[in-house]
Amino acid sequence: MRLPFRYKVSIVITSGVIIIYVVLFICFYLSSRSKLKNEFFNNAKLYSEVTYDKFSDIYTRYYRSVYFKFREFMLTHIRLFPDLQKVQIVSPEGEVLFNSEDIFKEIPVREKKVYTDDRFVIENLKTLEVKTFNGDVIKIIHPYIDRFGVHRFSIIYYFSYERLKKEINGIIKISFTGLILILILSSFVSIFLSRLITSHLSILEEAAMEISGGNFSKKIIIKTNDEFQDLADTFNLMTEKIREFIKELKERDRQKTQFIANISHELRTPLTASFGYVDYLLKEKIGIINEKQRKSLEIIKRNLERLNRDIHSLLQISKYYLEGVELDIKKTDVEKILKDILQNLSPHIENKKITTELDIKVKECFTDQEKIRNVFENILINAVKFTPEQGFIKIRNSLISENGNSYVIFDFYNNSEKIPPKKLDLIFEPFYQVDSDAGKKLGGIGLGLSICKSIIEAHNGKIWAKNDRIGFHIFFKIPGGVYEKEEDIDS
Amino acid sequence: MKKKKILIVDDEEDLLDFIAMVLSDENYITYKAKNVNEALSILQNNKVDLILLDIMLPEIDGFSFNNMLRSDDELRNIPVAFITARLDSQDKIIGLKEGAVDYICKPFTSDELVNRVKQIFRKVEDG
Repeated sequence: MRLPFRYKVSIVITSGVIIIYVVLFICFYLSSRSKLKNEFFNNAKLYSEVTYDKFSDIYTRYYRSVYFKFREFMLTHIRLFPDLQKVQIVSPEGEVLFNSEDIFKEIPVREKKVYTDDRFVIENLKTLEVKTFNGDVIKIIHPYIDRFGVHRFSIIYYFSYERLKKEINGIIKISFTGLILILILSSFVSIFLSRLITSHLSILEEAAMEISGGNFSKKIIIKTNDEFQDLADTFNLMTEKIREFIKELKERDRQKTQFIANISHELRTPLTASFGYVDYLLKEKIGIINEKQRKSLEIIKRNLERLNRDIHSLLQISKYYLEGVELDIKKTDVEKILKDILQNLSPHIENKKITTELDIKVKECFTDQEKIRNVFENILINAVKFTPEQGFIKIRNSLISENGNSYVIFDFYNNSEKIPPKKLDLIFEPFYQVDSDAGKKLGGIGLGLSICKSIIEAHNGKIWAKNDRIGFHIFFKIPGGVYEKEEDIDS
Repeated sequence: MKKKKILIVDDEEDLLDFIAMVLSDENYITYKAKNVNEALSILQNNKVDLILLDIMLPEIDGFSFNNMLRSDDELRNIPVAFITARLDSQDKIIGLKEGAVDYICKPFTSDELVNRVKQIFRKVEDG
């Protein structure tokens, strides 16, 4: 279960307050209870000491003669100490001579003798010392010795803790009420406090969200002069650094792009001038040329063309590597593009007497028109280059389904030399050239297929090569496609 | 018909000469400028019908010069065609947005150049 931080904080604060309160209360309770008990005990002792002499005297003098006087005296004195439960006068034999509980009876008529059943009293009746028992009820035994030295009776005081207990219970009750009040109060205070803390956290969280959304200009202002402020300062420092870093990256990126543009300009400008002049000479615009001169100029022109192509590939692949491939995807008639390219290559194709076959099931694809043309061109130029005389080039495409996604798969098949299986993946690496005579003789700097790879991968597609019994395939697949000949695909 | 006047601005002298040669052979009057200052002094004294402008020029580049022309009341109506060596269509788009009528990509042959220029004049006269 996910518990928000502010609740955690408030729970910790509240429980802390309650624990402190309960501990304090227990200490207070224990100490005040023992203090009250001691006080009570001392009072009881004092009372018994002060009164026992008088009680004995009054008893011997008036109990049997002037009972009402005795009664009145006893009543007055017993009332003086409300916690005095009862006073008994007991003979050394254990006979209860007087019990203050009987004081309300008019005349002390005894049918039979009553003996005390209090064990403590019985045990200590005969001793001549003052005995105290501090249990649930405080009992004090005062022996009375008359002027002839005879132990006539003992006065036994029973003091009850009842009232004190009630008082202490009252304290507990009040404390419980206090506990509930403290609970409510401390939860409010702690919620307030944790809000105060988490408000800073939520400021930080908000800022972090902004940053993850790409806004690095967000500054956090927390002026609490504590760890939160430190955190906010560190956070601001971090965003500042990120901002600088991004700025630097952008600048570096801009420089790279600028570099490509500069190189492009530097290489192409002289090429344009040279190519332009050669072309102009060949057109005899500057003057009549003879056959030998024409041949030489044609060679220059052909080489300049090749140089231009290579420069173009080089710049293109650098651009893709530095900036990535930007696609402008739209419905594209791939059949038309393929036919167009084959048309352009037809002089070479006819020259080598190559047969071509076009089997297009998906006529229209969602792709970048210019870039897919570039892919087709690179693959087909290679194919024409490497296909032997009177060989074949077969181009097919169809719709396939993989893991619920549909792809258009293209297959370029020709009967060129096979490529060693280990090198099948390498042909898509930049500057890789298959080590063959044909490859060397035909030129190129080995960038065509790596350009294709960049473009296809930008489409979220895949390109790979495969040998078979008679020739060599280059396959690639790109997502999507528009159904053209549905019945063919089904079959 | 009156001969059209074309100002060519390019810092590469060989290319500048080539373009001027091809266009004069096609019966255009050409002016050559190696930088923006030269171009401006030519524009002060001559009324031209088209400016062929290289984007990568020293000090002030082609885009900035084009913007200067756009903000000048007298010169704003002269059509400008950029000469670009860039790979992508980015420059083309910027160029056309900046009010250029066309662009010519390096490398180009004499035929391409002449065709483009003819096209531009047709376009300007039509529209």
